[in-house]
Amino acid sequence: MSVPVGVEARDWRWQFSGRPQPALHDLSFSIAPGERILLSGPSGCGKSTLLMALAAVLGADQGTETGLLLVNDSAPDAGRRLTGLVMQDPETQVIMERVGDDVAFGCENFAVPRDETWRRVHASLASVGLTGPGLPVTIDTPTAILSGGQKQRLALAGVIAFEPGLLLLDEPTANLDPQGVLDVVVAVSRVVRETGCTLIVVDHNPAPWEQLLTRVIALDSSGGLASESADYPRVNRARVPVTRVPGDVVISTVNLSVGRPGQPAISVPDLTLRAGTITALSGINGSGKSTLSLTLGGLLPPRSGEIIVGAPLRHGLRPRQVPSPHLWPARSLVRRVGSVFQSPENQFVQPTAASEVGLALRVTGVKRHEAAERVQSRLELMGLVDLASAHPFTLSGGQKRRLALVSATVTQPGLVVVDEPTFGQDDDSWSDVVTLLDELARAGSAVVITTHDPDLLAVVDHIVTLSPMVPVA
Amino acid sequence: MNPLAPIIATSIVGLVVLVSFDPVSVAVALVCQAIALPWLRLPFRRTWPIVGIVAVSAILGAMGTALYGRPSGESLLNWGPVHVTTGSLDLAVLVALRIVAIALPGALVFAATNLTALADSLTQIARLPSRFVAGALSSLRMMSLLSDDWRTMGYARRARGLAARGPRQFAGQSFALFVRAVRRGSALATTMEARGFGGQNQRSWSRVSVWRTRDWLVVAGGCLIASLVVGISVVTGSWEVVVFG
Repeated sequence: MSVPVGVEARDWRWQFSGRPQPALHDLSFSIAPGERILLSGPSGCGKSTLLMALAAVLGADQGTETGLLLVNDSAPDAGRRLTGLVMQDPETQVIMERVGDDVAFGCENFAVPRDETWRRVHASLASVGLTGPGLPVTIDTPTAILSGGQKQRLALAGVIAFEPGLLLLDEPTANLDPQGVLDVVVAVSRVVRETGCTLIVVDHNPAPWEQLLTRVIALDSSGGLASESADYPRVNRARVPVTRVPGDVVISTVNLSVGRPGQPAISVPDLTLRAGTITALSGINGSGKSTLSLTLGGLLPPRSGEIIVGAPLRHGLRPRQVPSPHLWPARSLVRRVGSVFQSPENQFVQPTAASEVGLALRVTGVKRHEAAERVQSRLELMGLVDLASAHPFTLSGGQKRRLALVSATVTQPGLVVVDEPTFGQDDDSWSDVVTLLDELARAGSAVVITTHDPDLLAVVDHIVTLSPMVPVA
Repeated sequence: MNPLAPIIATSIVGLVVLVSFDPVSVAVALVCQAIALPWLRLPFRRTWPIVGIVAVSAILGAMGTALYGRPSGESLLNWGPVHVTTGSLDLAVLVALRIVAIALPGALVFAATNLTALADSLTQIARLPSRFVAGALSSLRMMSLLSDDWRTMGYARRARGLAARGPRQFAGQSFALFVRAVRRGSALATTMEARGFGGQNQRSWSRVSVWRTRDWLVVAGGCLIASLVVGISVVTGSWEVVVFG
């Protein structure tokens, strides 16, 4: 059984090498063993950095620290076995080829005897609800075939197997559908109640955690301490009134089925996307939302059925290019369609945030001074001006997503396709994103988004629900 | 069967063929391997792509030898540096067969190997450092993610208005893939570190790797084939050793 451990910070400060400002500063707080904490704060304020410091995975070569940060009254490095960290991206948390081996990995590193290791592997997997009577996953299941939610729970099992006294969760519900979110929250609650370990959670959607957590520590936007026992954050999102006027059909589909190379095709409902409207694609993980987005964005050829390109996008295209966006040359595509991927990091191709936003303008031949003005105004709109010369990879998760959104839409394309636009945003940046989507629609774009966010679903014009995996013969 | 056994066996045969340079030894090696490989009952996977890659390398090697190899015998075509002779054609066939005999069994056996079991064997039987082996294992697993990354990057460049084809784009995308691989690698390293990997602790093994009599038999089989290759070749008087330089 794990022994819960406490955390203490005394005037702790961390500054990444090469950054002018500290990521975190003047942090003084203490967490008693067994407390269950929500770590909140605006997007980019250093929440992930604090968790990484507590888990002793911030290298001394990455920056400099002053003050004290203590886990169980000693420096985090000495107590590595005391902390278990689960991070945002499920993909980079799978280590081994098979489920059982992956969970055993941590136990092996701490020299847990073999029989005890396997006992813990089975117990941890059952505890997170991955294996058990009637469930398809076993210890021999290849990790590659697990869904995002399953991988997140696998990472949790791999961490609790070595019985840490402090569990650190960094947005563990990233990109999960509502059922996946629930599964993860239930798994964490059970583990925390069973082991009594101390818990620190970062999540921009704190509602599902409320029953479990005992206190909120809030950071401010500069990485300082805002409050050591803040009120539980209420989602307070300024909803935009929906009074948009639908225009011409920009794109529509008939009997369309979509699929990634080497994967089965998925048939999707017929769509009619009009200028001036926002359409949301909803449906569980694996129902084909992202694949459909890539197909509408002209990045994947349709498997069967038709994409009908409407008048607003046809102008200037050669007749043989009209039938489907995937036939358009890249330069024609970037004028007409703005795509934002599920993992925004995948789409950055420039060394600074400003040049990232300006790329589409340069490619389409917009004059230099006009381009510079537009880049500036977009960065201002998204609260990214201070980061104009930062490398896109160094931004926080929420900042990356906003940067990807403005870079893809700076040319005001007729069709805007955005995968999960509001994930990782705080209330303010949530409003910024929704305002931008609304402005794009009002200026004449057809906007199509995929989302699980109920607040976002409340401000769109149409919702199309994709049913899970209807394979096409 | 311990995954290390067939790898050792094919390596022994491969080494002997690598050193030899005559048609008889290659022929004996090919025949013995063709008989022995199915007998190992390994779960051979991705067989045809591997055969394809080896065949292409064999053909390229043969073409190079035929066109530019040491001229001997009758001259068939003489055109600048290109000089095809009956001797260089014979040599070309030999080179192609050598490539097949050395590369194909090893590649097939490696593709059929469970990497996790191989890593267990390397640390527990061969006593290699576990840090090194576990690191290599996780990076090999990451390789399979790179092809997905490459495709996604292609989508990204196209979506951003950058042309998809051409050498400059290829170079740009290759560099981006490299950056991505490094980032992925460091994220994975963080995950492994957070689970206590690389600490000063003694490590335990959750899976036992055992070396049984039949593993010795497989290695002995490899030695037998190797001695047959040398023996028959020497007896028939055709044994020749590859000459470097």
